[in-house]
Amino acid sequence: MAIPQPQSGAASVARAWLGFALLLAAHFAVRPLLSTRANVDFLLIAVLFSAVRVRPGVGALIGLVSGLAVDALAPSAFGSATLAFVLVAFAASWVKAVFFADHVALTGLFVFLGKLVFDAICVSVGGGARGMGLVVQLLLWTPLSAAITALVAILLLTIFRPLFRPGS
Amino acid sequence: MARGARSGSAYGGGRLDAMMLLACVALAIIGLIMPARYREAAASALRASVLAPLVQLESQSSGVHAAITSRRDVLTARARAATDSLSIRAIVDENTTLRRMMGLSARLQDGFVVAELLPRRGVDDDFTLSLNVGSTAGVERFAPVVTADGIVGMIERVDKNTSFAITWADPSFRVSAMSVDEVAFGIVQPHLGTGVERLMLELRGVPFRAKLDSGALIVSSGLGATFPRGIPVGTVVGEISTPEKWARTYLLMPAVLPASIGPVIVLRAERGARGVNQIWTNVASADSAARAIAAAGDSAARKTALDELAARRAALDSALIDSLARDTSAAAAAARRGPMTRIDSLRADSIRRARADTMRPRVPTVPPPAVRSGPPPTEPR
Repeated sequence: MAIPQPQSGAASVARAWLGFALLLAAHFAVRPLLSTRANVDFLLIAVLFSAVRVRPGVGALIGLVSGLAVDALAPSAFGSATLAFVLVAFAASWVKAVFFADHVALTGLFVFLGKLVFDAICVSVGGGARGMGLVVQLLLWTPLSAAITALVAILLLTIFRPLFRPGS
Repeated sequence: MARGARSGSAYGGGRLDAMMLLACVALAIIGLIMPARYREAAASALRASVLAPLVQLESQSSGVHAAITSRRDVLTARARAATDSLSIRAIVDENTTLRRMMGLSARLQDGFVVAELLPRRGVDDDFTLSLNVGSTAGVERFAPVVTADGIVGMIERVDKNTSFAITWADPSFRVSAMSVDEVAFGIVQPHLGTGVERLMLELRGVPFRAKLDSGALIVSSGLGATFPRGIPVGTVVGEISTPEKWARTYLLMPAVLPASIGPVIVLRAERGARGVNQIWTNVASADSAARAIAAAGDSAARKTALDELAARRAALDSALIDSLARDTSAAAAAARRGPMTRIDSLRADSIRRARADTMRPRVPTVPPPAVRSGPPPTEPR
């Protein structure tokens, strides 16, 4: 499968950074307004959409910075989100380069799986939930959050195509 | 963000990517295993420096969310308070109704049965009440059903332990009624209007001379065998026009509104026979009501006769003046021609006779109807 060649240039890079900044702002501005157990993870969408534009090592670096930002605001499990973001961003960049073409539904599935893996790592490493709470978190709230995040990602990709489409 | 740069590292990234991944994972693990005070120090430093705008943004967003939640809580609290106040008001109303029922029971003393309403059993029984008392408790057909406010209806069917009453809104409901001052008598029946007016009453057949003001209380007259005299039926709202031009019809606000019907009292026959004067209102007995009706009729006839007499006197006086004027002119002419007749002969004969006739009571001259035997003419033989 042919990998689409991205358009080089400052405009594409600027659009990519603008999209990342908007999603980062949404993560800290919109997410507290929703305040539910199954919530949208705008930062994960930003990391995934950025990781597919760069090589895996840079993706891991983006994950590291994003994870540190999240862990700094929730220091009880400092490092768990960082580790999860690093692994997910590296894997996303690697998997995207190997398998996926630019397809909205596949992108939704990509975000869904990314959120599942991210939450699984966070919950497992962070140790916030144990026993039945861990099971409920992994079998109920994590899939719900992943589904909602995937839907929002598809919506954003449809509406703001120039910002988030890797080939643009 | 140079995707093309990784074309050289086929399927998995190069050594640089692997090293960057290992370095990032190592940093994350260090963050995980470092002592808590170092973790907090690092997090605090990040929050105070590069993450300060994000912290502020998140704080403001949380404030907005707290305001929304607080507003929602306030609205919820207001709704709960309104609901509680409504339930308290309902309880107060129920207590008031029960106190008034107890007061009515104390005034009646005996000869009644207190009944509770049974739930409605169908959609077509808007004007029927199901009561939890029956013939075992002494309830009989046509017994009045009342509350402390007035007439509710009457018993239509009686079972052993239950009974069914029609309310005043039933199209077949009728009660003979009068004003408290015994000026107006008539028959109260449901006002068969539409909408809200369907829950009104109308007092029909009121003599035209009896005019009632709005707000006048209408009570049962005791004429008939069902309702004792003096139970409130309703208050006058106003007069309504009907094709019956010889009588007045008044619209009444019922004394007992459908929504306020709770526990009721069924009056037994012996209690009705003893009368309920001074229970709801202080009015005279049924006999005096009949005498009042007759007296009102007599006074009306007397007033009509006096009016007719006055009119005739006025007419005759004017005729007398005319005739005197004519006689004066005729006398002048006769004086010129010579005396032939008396000038005052007309006054001496006709005027006194007419006055004597008008003082005599007017007796109807219509012959009494002949008594027929057998079925009515309209009935097929």
